[in-house]
Amino acid sequence: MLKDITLGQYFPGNSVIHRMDPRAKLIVAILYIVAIFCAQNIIGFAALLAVSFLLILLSRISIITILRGLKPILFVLVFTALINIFLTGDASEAPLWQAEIPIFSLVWRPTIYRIGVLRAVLTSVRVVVLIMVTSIFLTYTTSPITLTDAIEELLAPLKLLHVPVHDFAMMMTIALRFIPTLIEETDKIMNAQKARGADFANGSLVKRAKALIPVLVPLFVSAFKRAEDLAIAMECRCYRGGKGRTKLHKLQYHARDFVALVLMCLFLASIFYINYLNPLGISL
Amino acid sequence: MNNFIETEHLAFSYEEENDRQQQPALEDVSINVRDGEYVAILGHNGSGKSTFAKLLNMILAPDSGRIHIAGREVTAPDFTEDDMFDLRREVGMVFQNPDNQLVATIVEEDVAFGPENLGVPREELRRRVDEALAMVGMSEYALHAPHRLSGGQKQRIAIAGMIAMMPKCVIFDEATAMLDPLGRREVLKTMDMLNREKHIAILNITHYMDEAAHADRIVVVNDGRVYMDGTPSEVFSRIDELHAIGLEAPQTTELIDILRQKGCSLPAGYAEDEACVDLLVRLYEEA
Repeated sequence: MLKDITLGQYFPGNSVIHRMDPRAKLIVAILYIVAIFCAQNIIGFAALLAVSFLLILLSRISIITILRGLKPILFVLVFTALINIFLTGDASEAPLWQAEIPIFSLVWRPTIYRIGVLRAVLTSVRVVVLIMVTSIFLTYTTSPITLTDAIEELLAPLKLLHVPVHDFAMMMTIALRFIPTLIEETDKIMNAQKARGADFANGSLVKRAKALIPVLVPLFVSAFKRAEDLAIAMECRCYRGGKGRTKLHKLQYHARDFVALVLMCLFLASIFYINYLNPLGISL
Repeated sequence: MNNFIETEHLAFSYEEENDRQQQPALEDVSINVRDGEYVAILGHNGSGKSTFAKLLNMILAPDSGRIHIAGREVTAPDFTEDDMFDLRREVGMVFQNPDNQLVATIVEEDVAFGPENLGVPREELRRRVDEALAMVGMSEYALHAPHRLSGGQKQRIAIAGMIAMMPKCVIFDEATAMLDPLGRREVLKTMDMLNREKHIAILNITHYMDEAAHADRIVVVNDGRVYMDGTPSEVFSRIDELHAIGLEAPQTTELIDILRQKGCSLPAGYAEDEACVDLLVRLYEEA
């Protein structure tokens, strides 16, 4: 069950996006995130969606995989959508629907406005697109090590301020490396506890949370054991921080990276332009 | 031939909490390993064999005794961090748990981790990684994620990571203990290959008899002391002494021993599977 989680997993491949420089990808992704939060009307959102699907096609990652990656945030999506539908709206507008519940209506009348629905849809699109695009650019097509390399290089100027950039990058790499291992382990421990009669699926929320304690304790114990083993193994492989280290893969910008950067800047500019024009007159 | 590793009268005990009596893990161990030699260190759990490995790689420091590696005294007081760094590139170590020694999320990047730390220039890095992966037969997995590989494959990647550092000696600290029979065979084959073709000294710390039989020399450790030291046939022929400390000889040797006790005329000592079958066939024909 836990193995279905694909968020944060790298799929090796050779698409244009795979071959892009991770630093460029990181910057492009950030620009895209800015675009997502700047887009204010339907045309802008349509453009965001269109670009996202184009990116999915370019990355050659199956759409099913990408949708599966959205599963963990389904709850957040539904929750924000409901909040938007019922709690926002323009009171000066005629409501689309209003609940008539005796007595309760004196306290609060659930009301749905057109703008609330629109907001719910657009916010959902925002979150979905955000997750999809960041995972396409970053986690799915960039091996975590190159990604950390990119972060390390982009943050390199901070070294002058004695920020331990390399150490942070290493920590990130190791965290990413051990996510699948620890997930597998959690599965194993849960099965072991189930075999001893533990029940994770039924009961109240508190009860279920309590049922997780016998899972978390052994998981932590083993994670610490792993950390110690790994530290020893790293020392045996001559690791002593970033000093004097070379890299198997040197990051190098290519023409495609500049093209991508320019295109993304143009896209961001056009989002601003669309906001300014607002052709359909609907904005948030 | 020179001794690559020399140890003299090593003693070590783990510090225990609550002031309980300290049980020494090693009492008095002197083991030498020559350049390019293939040595198996044999012992049951708690015999001190793993502690010995940790002392060799300077993960632990001995309470007393001396260790020389590649002609340098590791236990000398003026042995610095930098010296340790230099030495660790000569002595590789493969651990028991295949998961807990792979650092990177891509096989080839993990193999590159060691030489990257050594500051090997990029072109040579590439070459070393490709060679090391080819040597352990994992070239086609270069771009895979380690967590999708089998235990035996993960251990081979760990070995490739060592080869890429070009050590003179690789210590296997129960590297096959968590593997299935197939994985064990893969790893053993790789060990044999490293020793025969690359002339890398191998120190295989194990409790499997049939693995120890691959080595040139077997050192049996018991209760923190060297109990036996000799070629596989020498060690396995002293079957009663092995039984005395709860170890068993390989199945073929055990079988021959039982048959001899029943009065069959068979030569004592260790025989490989094939040789054992031949002996049995001859015995049958005589009867």
